[in-house]
Amino acid sequence: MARSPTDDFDTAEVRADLRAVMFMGLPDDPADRPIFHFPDVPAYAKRDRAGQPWDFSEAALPPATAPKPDVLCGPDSGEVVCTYTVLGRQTRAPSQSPFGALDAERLEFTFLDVDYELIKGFTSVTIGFTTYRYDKTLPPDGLSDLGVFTVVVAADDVL
Amino acid sequence: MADPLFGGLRDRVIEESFHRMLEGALAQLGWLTSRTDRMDVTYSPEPLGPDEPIVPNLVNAIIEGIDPDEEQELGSTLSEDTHLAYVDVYAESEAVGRQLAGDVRCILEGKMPMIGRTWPVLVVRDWTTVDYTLATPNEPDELFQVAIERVRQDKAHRAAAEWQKHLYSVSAELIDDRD
Repeated sequence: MARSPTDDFDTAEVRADLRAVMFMGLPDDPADRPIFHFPDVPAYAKRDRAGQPWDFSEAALPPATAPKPDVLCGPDSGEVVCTYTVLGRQTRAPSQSPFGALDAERLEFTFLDVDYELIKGFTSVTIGFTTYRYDKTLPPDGLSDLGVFTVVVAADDVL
Repeated sequence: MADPLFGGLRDRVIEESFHRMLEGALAQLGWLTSRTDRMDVTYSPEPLGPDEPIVPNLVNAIIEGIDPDEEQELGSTLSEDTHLAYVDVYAESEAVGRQLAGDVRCILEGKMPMIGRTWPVLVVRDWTTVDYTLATPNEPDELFQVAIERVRQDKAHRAAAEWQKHLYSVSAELIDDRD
């Protein structure tokens, strides 16, 4: 049910319009758009409680279910649209290490509800040659009964 | 008795046995069962990341380092390795933190007779032989025992952050006599 102060708020129409605008903001070349990856954790017959094999030469068991395939950004069915903003490297105190401060570049993704459902559970996202790992999902926002989700990812590199 | 293990694999098996013993003991005491009068207790053997959220009541157990000691006998290769174990308890309140950390301390000290912990030792089992593809995974054989010494319980003093307010830490040394 719509929670708009007016009765003429058409959630489906607003969602479609917003998705069209979000798609306009994505790079024109599909190869430059984000690609979302999902966990593909191999299982071993003889393993420790963390799932790692005792013998690293042991072959993994065949997966019980096929891992979820990558999700691409685009307008087609099974693809998602999103926006993302570079948060920069100084959004928090840098992590200290024996060889200096580490501060990974972070991005903030915004998804509408239908797209968020498709990428929920992703572990990393690749844009060009850079891979970002999932960090956290912020508390969701809403626009009437249209869900808006913000996800923060951090770059694997620490340059 | 199965053959003893060597090298890093021996270290991993000791660590595995430590986590299984401690988590099992906490489960026996009812800490890992959901209740309405406190938040759920979770056990994690993984190091926490610098910005990883800490949700009370978290028991985070880590073996931080190994101190190889000098040989124990003149003319023999008998030596002892000291594994330094730390169990941090991020509690929701002083009451939960003090009781949970106290139970961890007494589990390590072997002062929990109601769950069979009557001696400060860790029984190390050969978890490398357990085959999880079997309908009923086989029970691991006992390999050797490791003494638990220098058990100590600490509490964050004048916490600098909210998450440190009810932070308790129990440390212990696991003494592995090896030939």
